[in-house]
Order: sequence, then structure tokens, then C-alpha cells
Amino acid sequence: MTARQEDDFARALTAQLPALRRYATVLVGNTAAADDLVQDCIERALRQWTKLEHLERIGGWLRSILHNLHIDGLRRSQRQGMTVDLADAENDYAVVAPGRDSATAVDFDRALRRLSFEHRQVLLLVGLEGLNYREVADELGVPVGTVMSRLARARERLRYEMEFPPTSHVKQKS
Amino acid sequence: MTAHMRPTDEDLQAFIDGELDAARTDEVAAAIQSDAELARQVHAYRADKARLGQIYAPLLERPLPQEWLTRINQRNVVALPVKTSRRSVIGMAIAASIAMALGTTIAYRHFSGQDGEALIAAALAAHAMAHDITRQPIAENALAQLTGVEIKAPDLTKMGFSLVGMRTLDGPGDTPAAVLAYRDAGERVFTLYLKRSSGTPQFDMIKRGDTRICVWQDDVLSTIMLADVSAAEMLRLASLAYSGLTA
Repeated sequence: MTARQEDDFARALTAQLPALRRYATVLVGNTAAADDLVQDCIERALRQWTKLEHLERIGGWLRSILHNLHIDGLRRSQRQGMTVDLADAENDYAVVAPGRDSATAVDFDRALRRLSFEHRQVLLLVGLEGLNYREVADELGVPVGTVMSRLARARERLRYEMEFPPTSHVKQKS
Repeated sequence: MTAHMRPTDEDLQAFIDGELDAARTDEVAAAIQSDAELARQVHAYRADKARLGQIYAPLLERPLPQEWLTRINQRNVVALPVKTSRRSVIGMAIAASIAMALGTTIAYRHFSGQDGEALIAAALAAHAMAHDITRQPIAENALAQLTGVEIKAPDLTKMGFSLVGMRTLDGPGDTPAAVLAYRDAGERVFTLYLKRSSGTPQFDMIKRGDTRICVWQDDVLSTIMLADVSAAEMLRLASLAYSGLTA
């Protein structure tokens, strides 16, 4: 690998950071935890960049690293008996929508946080990252059919959470 | 489309995402047109998909932590600061374990300040000169005599670099410095610049032009390693060289 290839990688990595950070933030629902993940991801990417065969696929490669780091972290937390209360993380970042949609935006954000990791993941890959089904399947290592069924369940569940919010889960502001 | 051909949930989602072929798209569109409940569902799903992009778009505008950008620019794979207490920094762990073997102490700290810059400038000048060092034998105790520390020229053949020769120089502060030149099959030069430490443990990896510089200083020895290599390669070379000084 040459110094020029390394420079190209560094530029591509930097360009990916805003989207990767947004993806991590929405996926884990907490800005500090997301920044920890992205920082770990940068470290691992800098150490392993020679394993990236096609620079144009850096987005998926970084998200794969991020997923692995996140799952490692969850397993570590489980082993240590730590739990994460998503309600405590509510309003950790501001959700923004124009005018009268702002209340809907907050409801939407809360509903999204109540979904399973797998459901949030597939929703974000398609709806936020703009990947097609084949790209999602490749990134997650599952058949396209699995992506389709998982996405259908995820959107259905999101609709349900929007229409029937568990009010007991909503953090009350004092 | 007849009632028994009602689209599946997967069909509806694929329709929304434009993943159906033309024929199936027409069939699903016809089914939606003739079924108010389906039309309502599709409208809601589409709105949710649009909200995802809309609500979280501002997250893209947050300024990135300067620390991240600096580390990427420096290709610093070693020393991203620990944000929580859960992690150890790999380079520091390597440094600490080797320092323990040497009976010295080391702590991570950015290499900066006037003294640091002077040392790096001297090492860069030595690296430029190292390209001209010709193959010559090195006396067994030359390094130890020069630095006052029981060290020897490390073996870097595992990384494809062979020792070419050594020169002595006056380092910053008029203290003597040793310059060891190594060369690989591709004629790349790895320079090991050694002098007595100022006493402040430091560790850093930086880049000047095409040259990668690893500064590894304990309370006894300042070791500056330079080569036109990737960050990952420098990290391996630096670990091998530093540990090889006392191997």
C-alpha cells in the first residue's frame, strides 16, 4: 500500500464521518455513546484500512465496523450486568421538524427508539442511508428476502408505536 | 388485479422503495388505487420514510470533533484519547509493557513544545542524511558507549529492513545522538535516531511531508523513528525497534 492510497483513504474516511456519526446517533439513541462508537470505529479503521479492498465501499465497511463494535459493547454490558434505560436517553439530541410537525417528530423519534436494534438498523439503512435492498443484504450478510421481511416488520412496528405509544414509557418533563 | 392478488406487506414496502419490477409495480399500484385501507397504509409508510430523512438531517451539520480530524490527518492509530475508563490505548499498552521490561516508566503525552520540535527537526535532518550512509560494521558497544544505556542495534529483518550503518551526531543541547540507517529491498530507509532522554516520557506518531515519525521517549532514552511508510507499518516497525534495543 502506498502513502497516496493511505491519503485517499484518510480523505474518504473524513468525508464519511458526518453520515456515520448521524447513523450511530440514531441507531444507539444517545450522542455520547454514538461518539464513543464512532471514535472506536475511526481507530479500528485506521488500523485495518489495508483490508478495505474497494474504497468506494467505505461507507458500508465503516458501518460494519460500527455494528461489530456496538454488539461487542452490548455483550460486554450484559456480562457486566449493566443495563441501558433508553428513557433516560430521551431528548439527548434535538429532533427538528418544521412548524406543526415538531410534535410528530418527537413522537417519531421516541417510537423509533422503542424498536429492536435489528429493526432500527434496517430502517436506517434504507430510509436514512438510501441503500437498496441488495446493498442492505450484502452489508448485513443476509438474503434479500430477509431484508424485505425485516423491513416490513420494522415499518409495521414503527407505525404501531406511533399510533399506540406506551405512555408509561414517556419521560415526563418537570 | 383481483382481491385474491392483494399485495403482501413485503410488496407494499418494495413498492414504496421502488424495488419492484415494472409489471409488479403496476399491479401493486392498481391494488392500492382500488383499496382505501391499502392507500392509507402506503401513505403512512411513505410519510414515515420521509420523516427519517427530514428529522435527522440536522445531525449531519454538527461540527466534527477536531480530535478526530487531527488523528486522521496524522494517521495516528495509537493515541486517540480515552473517553471513558473502559478502554486502554493500544500504543500505550505496548509502550508500557516494553517500558516495564526496560525497567523504565512511560506515559502517553503529545510530543510538542520547543524541545520536541528541535528534536524532530534534528531527527528529520538525520533521516535525510541516512540515505547516504553506506554499509559498514558497527562496533558492538558503540550505542551503549554513546548513549550511556545498555542498548544495541535492533534487528528489523522481520519487517524486511536490514541494518546498513551508523553515524554519530551532536543532537540538540549538544548531547550526542546516534543515527542508525536501515534499508529494505525497495530501497526505503528506516532511520532510528537515539539520544539520552530529557527525562519526560512521551509517545506520539506524526507525519511531516511523506515521512512518518514515531517518537518514543522514556525517562532514559529518546527514540525517534522515521520512514516513508504507512501508519500501520510504522507502528509495527516502532514496536519491533523499541523492543529490539534491549532484546
